[in-house]
Amino acid sequence: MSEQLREPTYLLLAALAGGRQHGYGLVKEVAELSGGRVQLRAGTLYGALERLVGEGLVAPGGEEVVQGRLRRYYVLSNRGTQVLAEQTAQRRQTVDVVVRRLRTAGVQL
Amino acid sequence: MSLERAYRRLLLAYPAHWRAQRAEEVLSVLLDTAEARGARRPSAAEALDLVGHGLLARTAGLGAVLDARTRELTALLALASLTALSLLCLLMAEWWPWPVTPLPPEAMPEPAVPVSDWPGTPGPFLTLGGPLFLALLLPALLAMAGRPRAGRLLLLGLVPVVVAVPLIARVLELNRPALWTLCGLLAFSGLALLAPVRRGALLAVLSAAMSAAALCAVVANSASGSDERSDFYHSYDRLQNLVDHAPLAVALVLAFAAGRRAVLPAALVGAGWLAMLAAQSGARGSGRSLSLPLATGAVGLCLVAVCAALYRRGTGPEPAR
Repeated sequence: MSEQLREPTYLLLAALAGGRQHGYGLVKEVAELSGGRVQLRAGTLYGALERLVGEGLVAPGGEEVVQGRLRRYYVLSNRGTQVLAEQTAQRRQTVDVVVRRLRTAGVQL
Repeated sequence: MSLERAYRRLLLAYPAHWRAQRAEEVLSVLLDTAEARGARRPSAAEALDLVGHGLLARTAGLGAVLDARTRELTALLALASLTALSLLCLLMAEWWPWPVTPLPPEAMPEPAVPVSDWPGTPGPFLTLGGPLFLALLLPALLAMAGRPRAGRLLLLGLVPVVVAVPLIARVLELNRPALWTLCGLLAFSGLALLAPVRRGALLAVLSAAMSAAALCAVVANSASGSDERSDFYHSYDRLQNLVDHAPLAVALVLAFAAGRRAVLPAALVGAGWLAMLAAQSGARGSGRSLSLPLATGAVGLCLVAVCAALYRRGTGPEPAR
Protein backbone atom coordinates (compact mmCIF):
# COMPACT_ATOMS: atom_id res chain seq x y z
CA MET A 1 0.00 0.00 0.00
CA SER A 2 1.52 3.38 -1.02
CA GLU A 3 1.92 6.35 1.36
CA GLN A 4 -1.00 8.80 1.31
CA LEU A 5 -0.49 11.39 -1.44
CA ARG A 6 -1.17 15.04 -0.78
CA GLU A 7 -4.21 16.41 -2.59
CA PRO A 8 -2.40 18.43 -5.33
CA THR A 9 -0.26 15.39 -6.20
CA TYR A 10 -3.30 13.11 -6.25
CA LEU A 11 -5.16 15.59 -8.46
CA LEU A 12 -2.19 15.81 -10.84
CA LEU A 13 -2.16 12.03 -11.28
CA ALA A 14 -5.94 12.06 -11.67
CA ALA A 15 -5.69 14.79 -14.32
CA LEU A 16 -3.32 12.57 -16.31
CA ALA A 17 -5.62 9.55 -16.03
CA GLY A 18 -7.70 10.94 -18.92
CA GLY A 19 -4.69 10.97 -21.27
CA ARG A 20 -1.57 13.01 -21.94
CA GLN A 21 -1.60 16.66 -20.89
CA HIS A 22 0.69 19.68 -21.19
CA GLY A 23 1.42 22.09 -18.31
CA TYR A 24 -1.42 24.54 -18.84
CA GLY A 25 -3.82 21.66 -19.53
CA LEU A 26 -2.86 20.20 -16.13
CA VAL A 27 -3.50 23.52 -14.38
CA LYS A 28 -7.01 23.64 -15.88
CA GLU A 29 -7.76 19.96 -15.25
CA VAL A 30 -6.69 20.15 -11.59
CA ALA A 31 -8.82 23.27 -11.06
CA GLU A 32 -11.81 21.52 -12.67
CA LEU A 33 -11.33 18.25 -10.74
CA SER A 34 -11.13 20.13 -7.44
CA GLY A 35 -14.11 22.38 -8.21
CA GLY A 36 -11.77 25.40 -8.29
CA ARG A 37 -10.30 24.78 -4.81
CA VAL A 38 -6.82 23.90 -6.03
CA GLN A 39 -5.17 26.40 -8.38
CA LEU A 40 -1.68 25.14 -9.19
CA ARG A 41 0.94 27.80 -9.82
CA ALA A 42 3.71 27.15 -12.33
CA GLY A 43 6.53 26.79 -9.77
CA THR A 44 4.52 24.31 -7.70
CA LEU A 45 3.33 22.42 -10.82
CA TYR A 46 6.82 21.89 -12.20
CA GLY A 47 8.27 21.07 -8.77
CA ALA A 48 5.63 18.33 -8.44
CA LEU A 49 6.06 17.10 -12.03
CA GLU A 50 9.84 16.77 -11.63
CA ARG A 51 9.34 14.79 -8.43
CA LEU A 52 6.71 12.52 -10.01
CA VAL A 53 8.90 11.93 -13.07
CA GLY A 54 11.82 11.15 -10.73
CA GLU A 55 9.66 8.64 -8.83
CA GLY A 56 8.58 7.00 -12.08
CA LEU A 57 4.87 7.82 -11.66
CA VAL A 58 4.77 10.21 -14.63
CA ALA A 59 6.72 10.14 -17.90
CA PRO A 60 7.40 12.69 -20.66
CA GLY A 61 4.91 12.28 -23.53
CA GLY A 62 6.30 14.36 -26.41
CA GLU A 63 6.32 18.05 -27.25
CA GLU A 64 5.10 20.53 -29.85
CA VAL A 65 5.19 24.27 -30.54
CA VAL A 66 1.76 25.95 -30.68
CA GLN A 67 1.61 29.64 -31.70
CA GLY A 68 5.29 30.04 -30.85
CA ARG A 69 4.91 28.47 -27.39
CA LEU A 70 6.59 25.23 -26.36
CA ARG A 71 4.25 22.59 -24.97
CA ARG A 72 5.66 19.47 -23.34
CA TYR A 73 3.26 16.66 -22.66
CA TYR A 74 3.20 14.26 -19.72
CA VAL A 75 1.61 10.81 -19.37
CA LEU A 76 0.83 8.54 -16.44
CA SER A 77 3.23 5.57 -16.23
CA ASN A 78 2.02 2.05 -15.39
CA ARG A 79 3.28 2.54 -11.84
CA GLY A 80 1.54 5.92 -11.68
CA THR A 81 -1.73 4.30 -12.77
CA GLN A 82 -1.32 1.63 -10.10
CA VAL A 83 -0.59 4.21 -7.36
CA LEU A 84 -3.56 6.34 -8.47
CA ALA A 85 -5.84 3.29 -8.33
CA GLU A 86 -4.59 2.37 -4.82
CA GLN A 87 -5.00 5.92 -3.56
CA THR A 88 -8.49 6.18 -5.04
CA ALA A 89 -9.53 2.90 -3.40
CA GLN A 90 -8.20 4.15 -0.03
CA ARG A 91 -10.07 7.43 -0.37
CA ARG A 92 -13.27 5.69 -1.50
CA GLN A 93 -13.09 3.38 1.51
CA THR A 94 -12.75 6.37 3.85
CA VAL A 95 -15.60 8.22 2.13
CA ASP A 96 -17.87 5.15 2.35
CA VAL A 97 -17.26 4.85 6.10
CA VAL A 98 -17.87 8.56 6.70
CA VAL A 99 -21.05 8.55 4.58
CA ARG A 100 -22.42 5.57 6.55
CA ARG A 101 -21.67 7.33 9.84
CA LEU A 102 -23.27 10.56 8.72
CA ARG A 103 -26.38 8.69 7.56
CA THR A 104 -26.52 6.93 10.92
CA ALA A 105 -26.36 10.39 12.53
CA GLY A 106 -29.32 11.44 10.38
CA VAL A 107 -27.42 13.65 7.93
CA GLN A 108 -28.68 13.37 4.34
CA LEU A 109 -26.04 13.77 1.61
CA MET B 1 7.93 45.91 -18.93
CA SER B 2 6.20 43.23 -21.02
CA LEU B 3 4.57 40.32 -19.24
CA GLU B 4 6.96 37.84 -20.87
CA ARG B 5 10.00 39.84 -19.78
CA ALA B 6 8.68 40.07 -16.22
CA TYR B 7 8.23 36.29 -16.07
CA ARG B 8 11.69 35.73 -17.54
CA ARG B 9 13.16 37.88 -14.79
CA LEU B 10 11.39 35.84 -12.12
CA LEU B 11 12.65 32.62 -13.72
CA LEU B 12 16.20 33.86 -13.09
CA ALA B 13 15.68 32.50 -9.55
CA TYR B 14 16.15 29.02 -11.09
CA PRO B 15 19.66 27.73 -11.88
CA ALA B 16 20.92 28.15 -15.47
CA HIS B 17 20.83 24.41 -16.32
CA TRP B 18 17.19 24.25 -15.18
CA ARG B 19 16.26 27.30 -17.26
CA ALA B 20 17.97 25.84 -20.33
CA GLN B 21 15.72 22.77 -20.09
CA ARG B 22 12.49 24.19 -18.74
CA ALA B 23 12.21 27.98 -19.10
CA GLU B 24 10.34 28.03 -22.44
CA GLU B 25 7.90 25.36 -21.31
CA VAL B 26 7.16 27.07 -17.97
CA LEU B 27 6.94 30.45 -19.67
CA SER B 28 4.21 29.16 -22.00
CA VAL B 29 2.21 27.92 -18.97
CA LEU B 30 2.68 31.29 -17.23
CA LEU B 31 1.60 33.26 -20.31
CA ASP B 32 -1.39 30.97 -21.03
CA THR B 33 -2.54 31.31 -17.40
CA ALA B 34 -2.05 35.09 -17.38
CA GLU B 35 -3.98 35.51 -20.65
CA ALA B 36 -6.85 33.39 -19.32
CA ARG B 37 -7.29 35.71 -16.33
CA GLY B 38 -6.48 38.90 -18.25
CA ALA B 39 -3.41 39.72 -16.14
CA ARG B 40 -0.89 42.29 -17.37
CA ARG B 41 1.79 41.63 -14.77
CA PRO B 42 2.78 38.71 -12.51
CA SER B 43 0.87 38.57 -9.24
CA ALA B 44 2.72 38.67 -5.91
CA ALA B 45 1.72 35.04 -5.25
CA GLU B 46 3.12 33.97 -8.63
CA ALA B 47 6.38 35.83 -7.96
CA LEU B 48 6.72 34.22 -4.52
CA ASP B 49 5.96 30.79 -5.97
CA LEU B 50 8.57 31.10 -8.75
CA VAL B 51 11.31 32.64 -6.58
CA GLY B 52 10.75 30.12 -3.75
CA HIS B 53 10.80 27.08 -6.02
CA GLY B 54 13.69 28.56 -8.03
CA LEU B 55 15.83 28.91 -4.91
CA LEU B 56 14.90 25.38 -3.86
CA ALA B 57 16.01 24.13 -7.29
CA ARG B 58 19.32 25.93 -6.75
CA THR B 59 19.90 24.13 -3.45
CA ALA B 60 19.16 20.83 -5.23
CA GLY B 61 21.73 21.85 -7.85
CA LEU B 62 24.35 22.39 -5.15
CA GLY B 63 23.88 18.78 -4.14
CA ALA B 64 23.99 17.41 -7.68
CA VAL B 65 27.41 15.92 -6.98
CA LEU B 66 25.70 13.49 -4.59
CA ASP B 67 23.27 10.79 -5.71
CA ALA B 68 19.61 11.07 -4.71
CA ARG B 69 19.76 8.60 -1.81
CA THR B 70 22.88 10.24 -0.33
CA ARG B 71 21.28 13.70 -0.64
CA GLU B 72 18.19 12.48 1.15
CA LEU B 73 20.18 10.88 3.99
CA THR B 74 22.35 14.00 4.35
CA ALA B 75 19.26 16.23 4.44
CA LEU B 76 17.65 13.92 6.99
CA LEU B 77 20.64 13.98 9.35
CA ALA B 78 21.14 17.72 8.87
CA LEU B 79 17.48 18.52 9.58
CA ALA B 80 17.62 16.35 12.70
CA SER B 81 20.87 18.07 13.75
CA LEU B 82 19.40 21.53 13.08
CA THR B 83 16.35 20.73 15.19
CA ALA B 84 18.40 19.16 17.98
CA LEU B 85 20.83 22.11 18.06
CA SER B 86 17.95 24.60 18.15
CA LEU B 87 16.29 22.68 20.98
CA LEU B 88 19.58 22.38 22.86
CA CYS B 89 20.33 26.11 22.65
CA LEU B 90 16.73 27.00 23.47
CA LEU B 91 16.73 24.85 26.62
CA MET B 92 20.31 25.43 27.75
CA ALA B 93 20.80 29.08 26.91
CA GLU B 94 17.57 30.87 26.23
CA TRP B 95 14.73 29.46 28.26
CA TRP B 96 14.58 26.66 30.82
CA PRO B 97 11.00 26.10 31.97
CA TRP B 98 11.64 24.19 35.20
CA PRO B 99 13.34 25.56 38.36
CA VAL B 100 16.57 23.82 39.38
CA THR B 101 18.04 23.60 42.87
CA PRO B 102 20.77 26.23 43.26
CA LEU B 103 24.17 24.93 44.31
CA PRO B 104 25.88 26.50 47.34
CA PRO B 105 27.84 29.60 46.27
CA GLU B 106 31.22 27.94 46.92
CA ALA B 107 30.32 25.13 44.47
CA MET B 108 29.54 27.51 41.63
CA PRO B 109 32.33 27.50 39.05
CA GLU B 110 31.72 31.09 37.95
CA PRO B 111 29.86 33.91 39.66
CA ALA B 112 26.47 33.79 37.94
CA VAL B 113 25.10 37.10 36.77
CA PRO B 114 21.32 37.29 37.06
CA VAL B 115 19.85 37.55 33.59
CA SER B 116 17.45 40.19 34.85
CA ASP B 117 20.47 42.49 35.32
CA TRP B 118 21.54 42.12 31.69
CA PRO B 119 20.58 44.73 29.15
CA GLY B 120 19.16 43.73 25.76
CA THR B 121 17.24 40.57 26.67
CA PRO B 122 14.20 40.16 24.36
CA GLY B 123 11.07 39.02 26.20
CA PRO B 124 11.55 35.78 28.13
CA PHE B 125 14.72 34.93 26.21
CA LEU B 126 18.37 35.68 26.85
CA THR B 127 19.15 36.72 23.26
CA LEU B 128 17.52 37.09 19.83
CA GLY B 129 18.36 33.41 19.43
CA GLY B 130 15.26 32.44 21.46
CA PRO B 131 12.61 33.27 18.82
CA LEU B 132 14.98 32.10 16.08
CA PHE B 133 15.47 28.66 17.67
CA LEU B 134 11.71 28.33 18.15
CA ALA B 135 11.16 29.14 14.44
CA LEU B 136 13.88 26.65 13.45
CA LEU B 137 11.97 23.83 15.15
CA LEU B 138 9.09 24.36 12.71
CA PRO B 139 10.55 22.97 9.42
CA ALA B 140 11.03 19.50 10.94
CA LEU B 141 7.59 19.66 12.60
CA LEU B 142 6.00 20.63 9.26
CA ALA B 143 7.79 17.73 7.56
CA MET B 144 6.48 15.38 10.25
CA ALA B 145 2.96 16.77 9.70
CA GLY B 146 3.15 15.70 6.05
CA ARG B 147 4.04 19.19 4.73
CA PRO B 148 7.70 18.72 3.71
CA ARG B 149 7.61 21.33 0.95
CA ALA B 150 6.17 23.97 3.28
CA GLY B 151 8.90 23.05 5.77
CA ARG B 152 11.64 23.48 3.16
CA LEU B 153 10.24 26.81 1.99
CA LEU B 154 10.11 28.02 5.60
CA LEU B 155 13.68 26.88 6.19
CA LEU B 156 14.76 28.64 3.00
CA GLY B 157 13.13 31.83 4.31
CA LEU B 158 14.84 31.44 7.70
CA VAL B 159 18.37 31.19 6.23
CA PRO B 160 18.63 34.96 5.51
CA VAL B 161 17.17 35.62 8.99
CA VAL B 162 19.99 33.56 10.57
CA VAL B 163 22.52 35.57 8.53
CA ALA B 164 20.86 38.86 9.54
CA VAL B 165 20.64 38.12 13.29
CA PRO B 166 23.92 39.91 14.21
CA LEU B 167 22.80 43.00 12.26
CA ILE B 168 19.25 42.94 13.67
CA ALA B 169 20.65 42.56 17.19
CA ARG B 170 22.96 45.53 16.67
CA VAL B 171 20.19 47.74 15.27
CA LEU B 172 17.70 46.79 18.02
CA GLU B 173 20.43 46.84 20.71
CA LEU B 174 19.60 43.29 21.82
CA ASN B 175 21.87 40.39 22.74
CA ARG B 176 22.65 37.89 20.00
CA PRO B 177 23.61 34.21 20.29
CA ALA B 178 27.28 33.33 19.76
CA LEU B 179 28.47 33.33 16.16
CA TRP B 180 29.50 29.66 16.31
CA THR B 181 25.86 28.77 16.94
CA LEU B 182 24.72 30.79 13.92
CA CYS B 183 27.43 29.19 11.75
CA GLY B 184 26.30 25.72 12.86
CA LEU B 185 22.67 26.59 12.09
CA LEU B 186 23.64 27.85 8.63
CA ALA B 187 25.67 24.73 7.82
CA PHE B 188 22.88 22.38 8.89
CA SER B 189 20.23 24.48 7.09
CA GLY B 190 22.18 24.33 3.83
CA LEU B 191 22.59 20.55 4.07
CA ALA B 192 18.94 20.09 5.13
CA LEU B 193 17.79 21.87 1.96
CA LEU B 194 19.55 19.36 -0.31
CA ALA B 195 16.47 17.13 -0.58
CA PRO B 196 12.99 16.57 0.83
CA VAL B 197 12.97 14.00 3.63
CA ARG B 198 10.59 11.09 4.21
CA ARG B 199 8.27 11.35 7.16
CA GLY B 200 8.91 7.88 8.62
CA ALA B 201 12.69 8.21 8.52
CA LEU B 202 12.52 11.74 9.93
CA LEU B 203 10.36 10.53 12.80
CA ALA B 204 12.99 7.95 13.82
CA VAL B 205 16.06 10.18 13.48
CA LEU B 206 14.37 13.26 14.90
CA SER B 207 13.11 11.35 17.94
CA ALA B 208 16.67 10.23 18.68
CA ALA B 209 18.15 13.70 18.06
CA MET B 210 15.57 15.58 20.11
CA SER B 211 15.69 13.04 22.96
CA ALA B 212 19.48 13.36 23.04
CA ALA B 213 19.25 17.17 22.97
CA ALA B 214 16.68 17.21 25.78
CA LEU B 215 18.82 14.76 27.77
CA CYS B 216 21.89 16.98 27.31
CA ALA B 217 19.89 20.01 28.47
CA VAL B 218 18.64 18.18 31.57
CA VAL B 219 22.13 16.94 32.44
CA ALA B 220 23.75 20.32 31.86
CA ASN B 221 21.11 22.28 33.75
CA SER B 222 21.19 19.84 36.66
CA ALA B 223 24.99 19.95 36.78
CA SER B 224 24.96 23.73 36.66
CA GLY B 225 22.49 23.78 39.55
CA SER B 226 21.75 27.45 39.11
CA ASP B 227 18.27 28.90 38.99
CA GLU B 228 19.60 31.75 36.88
CA ARG B 229 20.55 31.33 33.26
CA SER B 230 24.28 31.70 33.02
CA ASP B 231 25.96 32.81 29.83
CA PHE B 232 25.74 29.48 28.00
CA TYR B 233 27.44 30.77 24.90
CA HIS B 234 30.71 31.63 26.65
CA SER B 235 30.89 30.18 30.16
CA TYR B 236 32.92 27.04 30.77
CA ASP B 237 30.75 24.79 32.92
CA ARG B 238 27.75 24.35 30.63
CA LEU B 239 29.89 24.34 27.53
CA GLN B 240 31.97 21.58 29.02
CA ASN B 241 28.78 19.62 29.56
CA LEU B 242 27.74 20.24 26.00
CA VAL B 243 31.15 19.25 24.61
CA ASP B 244 31.06 16.12 26.77
CA HIS B 245 27.57 15.12 25.72
CA ALA B 246 27.20 16.37 22.14
CA PRO B 247 29.22 13.44 20.72
CA LEU B 248 26.77 11.15 22.49
CA ALA B 249 23.87 12.96 20.83
CA VAL B 250 25.55 12.75 17.43
CA ALA B 251 26.38 9.08 17.94
CA LEU B 252 22.74 8.35 18.79
CA VAL B 253 21.54 10.14 15.67
CA LEU B 254 24.09 8.47 13.43
CA ALA B 255 23.37 5.06 14.90
CA PHE B 256 19.88 5.26 13.38
CA ALA B 257 21.38 5.76 9.98
CA ALA B 258 23.97 3.03 10.35
CA GLY B 259 25.00 1.17 7.24
CA ARG B 260 27.39 1.64 4.35
CA ARG B 261 25.24 4.22 2.59
CA ALA B 262 25.22 6.42 5.69
CA VAL B 263 28.99 6.97 5.71
CA LEU B 264 29.05 10.01 3.43
CA PRO B 265 26.01 11.79 4.96
CA ALA B 266 27.36 11.05 8.45
CA ALA B 267 30.73 12.48 7.48
CA LEU B 268 29.17 15.66 6.05
CA VAL B 269 26.88 16.32 9.00
CA GLY B 270 29.46 15.15 11.54
CA ALA B 271 31.91 17.67 10.05
CA GLY B 272 29.33 20.39 10.72
CA TRP B 273 29.12 19.41 14.40
CA LEU B 274 32.89 19.14 14.80
CA ALA B 275 33.56 22.47 13.07
CA MET B 276 31.01 24.13 15.32
CA LEU B 277 32.50 22.63 18.46
CA ALA B 278 35.96 23.69 17.28
CA ALA B 279 34.78 27.28 16.80
CA GLN B 280 33.05 27.12 20.18
CA SER B 281 36.08 25.87 22.08
CA GLY B 282 38.22 28.50 20.35
CA ALA B 283 35.73 31.21 21.27
CA ARG B 284 35.67 30.43 24.96
CA GLY B 285 39.36 31.36 25.33
CA SER B 286 40.41 28.79 27.89
CA GLY B 287 40.04 25.85 25.52
CA ARG B 288 42.09 26.87 22.50
CA SER B 289 44.17 23.73 22.72
CA LEU B 290 41.01 21.73 22.00
CA SER B 291 40.09 23.65 18.86
CA LEU B 292 43.00 22.43 16.75
CA PRO B 293 42.27 18.68 16.92
CA LEU B 294 38.57 19.33 16.44
CA ALA B 295 39.18 21.57 13.42
CA THR B 296 41.60 19.01 11.99
CA GLY B 297 38.98 16.33 12.47
CA ALA B 298 36.43 18.47 10.63
CA VAL B 299 38.76 19.05 7.70
CA GLY B 300 39.62 15.34 7.63
CA LEU B 301 35.94 14.37 7.57
CA CYS B 302 35.29 16.83 4.73
CA LEU B 303 38.13 15.31 2.73
CA VAL B 304 36.79 11.80 3.32
CA ALA B 305 33.36 13.01 2.22
CA VAL B 306 34.69 14.54 -1.01
CA CYS B 307 36.72 11.41 -1.80
CA ALA B 308 33.71 9.18 -1.16
CA ALA B 309 31.58 11.42 -3.43
CA LEU B 310 34.15 11.17 -6.22
CA TYR B 311 34.30 7.37 -5.91
CA ARG B 312 30.50 7.21 -6.04
CA ARG B 313 30.49 9.17 -9.30
CA GLY B 314 33.17 6.91 -10.69
CA THR B 315 35.51 9.85 -11.22
CA GLY B 316 37.84 9.12 -8.34
CA PRO B 317 41.22 7.45 -8.68
CA GLU B 318 41.27 3.69 -9.23
CA PRO B 319 41.60 1.80 -5.96
CA ALA B 320 44.86 -0.15 -5.55
CA ARG B 321 44.50 -3.77 -6.57
